[in-house]
Amino acid sequence: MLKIANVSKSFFGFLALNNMTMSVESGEMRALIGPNGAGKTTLLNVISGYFLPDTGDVQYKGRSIIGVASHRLFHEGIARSFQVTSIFPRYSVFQNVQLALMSRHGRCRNLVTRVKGVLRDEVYGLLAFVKMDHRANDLGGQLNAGDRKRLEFAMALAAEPELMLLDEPTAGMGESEKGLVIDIIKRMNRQRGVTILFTEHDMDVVFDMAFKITVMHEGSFFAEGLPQEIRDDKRVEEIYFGEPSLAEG
Amino acid sequence: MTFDDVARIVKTTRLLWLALLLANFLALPWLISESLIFLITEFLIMALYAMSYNLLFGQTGMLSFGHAAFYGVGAYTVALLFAYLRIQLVPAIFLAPLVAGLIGLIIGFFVLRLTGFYFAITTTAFAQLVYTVVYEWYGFTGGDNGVHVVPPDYLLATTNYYYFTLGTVVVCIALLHMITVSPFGAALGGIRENPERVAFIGINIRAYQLAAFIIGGAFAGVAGALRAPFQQMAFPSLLFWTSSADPLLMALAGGFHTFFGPIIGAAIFVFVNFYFAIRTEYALMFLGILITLIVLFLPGGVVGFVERILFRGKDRNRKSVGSGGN
Repeated sequence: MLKIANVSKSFFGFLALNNMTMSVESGEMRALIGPNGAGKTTLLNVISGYFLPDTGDVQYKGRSIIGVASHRLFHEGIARSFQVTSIFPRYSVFQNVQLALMSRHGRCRNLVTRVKGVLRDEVYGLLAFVKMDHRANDLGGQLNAGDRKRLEFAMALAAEPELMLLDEPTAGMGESEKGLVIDIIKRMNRQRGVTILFTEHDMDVVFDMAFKITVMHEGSFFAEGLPQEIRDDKRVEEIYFGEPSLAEG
Repeated sequence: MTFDDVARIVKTTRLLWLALLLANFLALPWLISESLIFLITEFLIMALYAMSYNLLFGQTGMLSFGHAAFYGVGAYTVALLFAYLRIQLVPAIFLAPLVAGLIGLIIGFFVLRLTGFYFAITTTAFAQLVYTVVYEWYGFTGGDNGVHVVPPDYLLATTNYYYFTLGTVVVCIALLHMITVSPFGAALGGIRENPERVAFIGINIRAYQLAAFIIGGAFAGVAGALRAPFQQMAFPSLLFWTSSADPLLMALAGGFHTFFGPIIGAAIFVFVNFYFAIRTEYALMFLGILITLIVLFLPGGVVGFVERILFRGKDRNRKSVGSGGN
């Protein structure tokens, strides 16, 4: 589904991605791990069209998506969530999801209808999926971290995505919030068949969710395997688990 | 009584208030002197000018300093059509927004590559460019002599022109309101709230900003088209950069977060200016002081301040949002 081939990207001489290569199969949940500065977020930014790579290619369903604008990728079924959750703080929970849905359905070009009830049932359907329907009228900015993340998922799901890129989906959450969010990610994968590529610092979350794990180090591919294989890999331990401070994120 | 019932009553009474307000405007020529009617006509034109600007500024979050280009182009469209082709105001006022919108398309195409400060500066530059063309092109625009334009006979009387302006402005404001509460308006608000985010929900920011630029420009063109026959003259100062500051100041004074705020801003602008202009030589100075005070002490503008008093409980929620936002 997703092929990343020899992608490099540098910022002011710093090589954030160095010949990175990996691929993700349809339907899987792939964790992308590595110490801070390994280039995980940069890679997600390249895939989602936020950065252009200096060299290399990114193929989605057999087609290069280099240079395709972020807003187009959304319509092609690639959605993402951000490390620092990004929503519309002064829009209600309902309006946040509604805007994403209207965009997906090409309804934002409508200048003459009242926005109020547009796609109401669809919005509530997505909010129910992330268990946020009871907060539909609250403002986005009033939500705590876990609720915000779930709202962001609902907005991403509006794309009817086939591939979702999640950057640190449980960052800054308490245990109970984490559980809720992980449950939703798993349901997105199982019930909706969304392929998921996620970065995560919390190893419990990684081992709980990932089918397979790809390890990055200094902008490059380092190792890949089933969770158990990665757990037992001494080299991975050296670059990653050997530095306990990094595991905290 | 359910919440929905209350909401419906509020809604119907709001319509009632608007109807009453409109009735008042309709009755004004029987109640006040002709010179005041003249002044209120000016207020209506400025109100539309400010409202058209606020589609960019308040709704989409674009700080443009070049709105005078559209206003002036609207005025000159009507004036030049009259001067060269003897086309009367009534067909011409439909052409003015088309021409102004076209200018919006051209300017927007270039300036929307930039954001923030650079965007603001470049809009000024383009507007000054249009000003310079109008100012220097004596053979066509008459340069600083301006272009003479007379409204048709049936609109020559102050009262008639007032009604014509009132009707046009009310229709335009209704259209602007329709756009603001439409899905398109919601997308513009999304760009204002979180420009980074809207791209990732599939919204092409530049395309929507350009559309807002064109629509805002077109409505400013209508305001300009009303202005030229009103003063029986289109002159280059309508396009000068200080004229671009007017709608920004009106929006700030009235409250750019609210739909009707710029109308109140226009009222302050026109009536305060008039009050001091007949008493002193320093009207602009008093106006400047007043607007500075409003911006400093009522950051939400006059309407924002009134809303804060009326909806105190509700506002507390909004406040917490401001600080909790990302």
